[in-house]
Amino acid sequence: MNDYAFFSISQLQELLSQKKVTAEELVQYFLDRFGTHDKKINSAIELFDAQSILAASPKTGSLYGMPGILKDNIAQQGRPLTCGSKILNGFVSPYDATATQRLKSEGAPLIGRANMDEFAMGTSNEYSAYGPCMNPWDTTRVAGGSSGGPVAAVAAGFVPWALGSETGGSVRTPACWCGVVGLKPTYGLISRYGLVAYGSSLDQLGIATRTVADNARILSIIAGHDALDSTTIEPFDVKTDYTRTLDGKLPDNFTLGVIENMLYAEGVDPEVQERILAAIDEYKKLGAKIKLISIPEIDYGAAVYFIVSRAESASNLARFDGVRYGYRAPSCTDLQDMYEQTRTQGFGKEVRARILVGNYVLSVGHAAHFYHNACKVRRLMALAIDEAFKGVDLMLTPVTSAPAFKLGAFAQDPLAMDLTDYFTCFASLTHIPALSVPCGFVKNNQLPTAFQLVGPECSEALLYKVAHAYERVTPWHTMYPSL
Amino acid sequence: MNITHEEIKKLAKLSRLIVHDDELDQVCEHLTSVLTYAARVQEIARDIAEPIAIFDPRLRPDKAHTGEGMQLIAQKILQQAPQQQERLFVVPKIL
Repeated sequence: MNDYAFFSISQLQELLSQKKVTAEELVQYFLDRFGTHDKKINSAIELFDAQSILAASPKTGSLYGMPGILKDNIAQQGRPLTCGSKILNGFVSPYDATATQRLKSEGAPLIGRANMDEFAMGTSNEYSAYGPCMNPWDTTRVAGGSSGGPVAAVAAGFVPWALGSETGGSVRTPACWCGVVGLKPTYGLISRYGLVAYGSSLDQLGIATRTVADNARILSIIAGHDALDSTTIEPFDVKTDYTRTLDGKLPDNFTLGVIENMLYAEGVDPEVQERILAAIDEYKKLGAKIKLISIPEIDYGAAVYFIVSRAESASNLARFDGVRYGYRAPSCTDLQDMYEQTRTQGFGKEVRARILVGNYVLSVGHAAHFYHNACKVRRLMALAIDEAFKGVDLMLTPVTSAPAFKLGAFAQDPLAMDLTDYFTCFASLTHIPALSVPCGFVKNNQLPTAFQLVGPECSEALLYKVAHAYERVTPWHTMYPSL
Repeated sequence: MNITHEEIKKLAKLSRLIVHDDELDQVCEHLTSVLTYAARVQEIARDIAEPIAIFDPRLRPDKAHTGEGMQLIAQKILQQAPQQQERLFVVPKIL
């Protein structure tokens, strides 16, 4: 069979429509690619059998024959759902997430369950109970997290598209480190029904693909109001085609704001900075007006994120108690003992630490200093960003300060690892959409890096248009790791 | 800021977790570093005229869903229980 590993969705669609390949052959092709190469990457927790993959979706639709993989915190009916954790051992989802249903209704073959940091808590995919997920560009380095599995699978050519989840950067960070396009949408654009909750005011499904057009294609299918998720945006009950604006040009009179207190923040690798400055030059050549802006409030984003996300996760993870599903510790003396033993044995170290932090910042004597102040600063950040968007159309920042690090590099410094979220979490906190766009390689051209575009709420079409214009004049989306 | 062993033990109880004695130092250090960083929100937090959050409850009618479909889902859920009896989840004694 020919090498379809890095074909785009539309290239695969063409092959299918010309009957050069069948859907069954494509599914088997990608399953075989996992089988051959995934041992050194570990992007999949489970791959399903070809028969059940094809039986789960109709034989029609815009994604028919084009397999994707879902992060293992997104419910697929009749399949295990572990969230990368021991505590959900044996749990099988009784229903599909809304996004899963919408993909299946377009014929999408869902090929398996992708690896992730446990309960989406992490920035490197080192915290999975199923082992770390490694970077296809250098398998001694991490893929990034928490959506390392789905993103690495796309980067490695195991699938043309994947769904992850975002709470503070969990699709954008691995997308930056693996050289693919990663979207965090506007909060409420995609239904969270069937996404296991980490931070309910932050969580969104995210999309990983190798091209901007493919990303827009997937968003067009899964976005939209859902009666089962009251946080979804109500006017969006009409199908939106996010690919319609992709003509390779910037809008007239387009102004791109560069957040200088992020681009020139302490600790940003000079090579990463250089690649981002080169990208800004490309935007100038395309006709963009560049405006340097400063938003001091977003320097506090990581501090706010640490408090809000841990507080919400302490509440959301209280349901994992061994009573109704999943792991239950054996030989417990009473109910209290069962709760404590189950949760201590079932959760990994990072999850336990975050629950403790979360309960600390919510507890009597500390809530005012931490949680209430964090909520106030969150609002101040949102107001400052709204103000900034009065003078620019989109804003640009780094995604991370450095490329992917070696496995275990931050084992003794969890705070430094957590601060990987520094550039990404402000978009999650303020509910605005953000897109990680590959912009070249650093460290002797070995490791990918990216810039981040952020826009006002519901500006995904503009984000895609502007990212696509850059993609059209650069080669990064045509470069693939050799496995 | 310095989190004490006693505070960690109290937090663990609230969280329905166990922190063993040989883990206390490491957990204290981790929490202290994260919370010391997070405390910087106090540098700019201030009251503002605008509300911190918009309260927009969208409620559906409080209507029970019954019928065969719901019973099948209930069955699937009960089947996953570590221990169950009839339609009840069985747990160790409470008192």
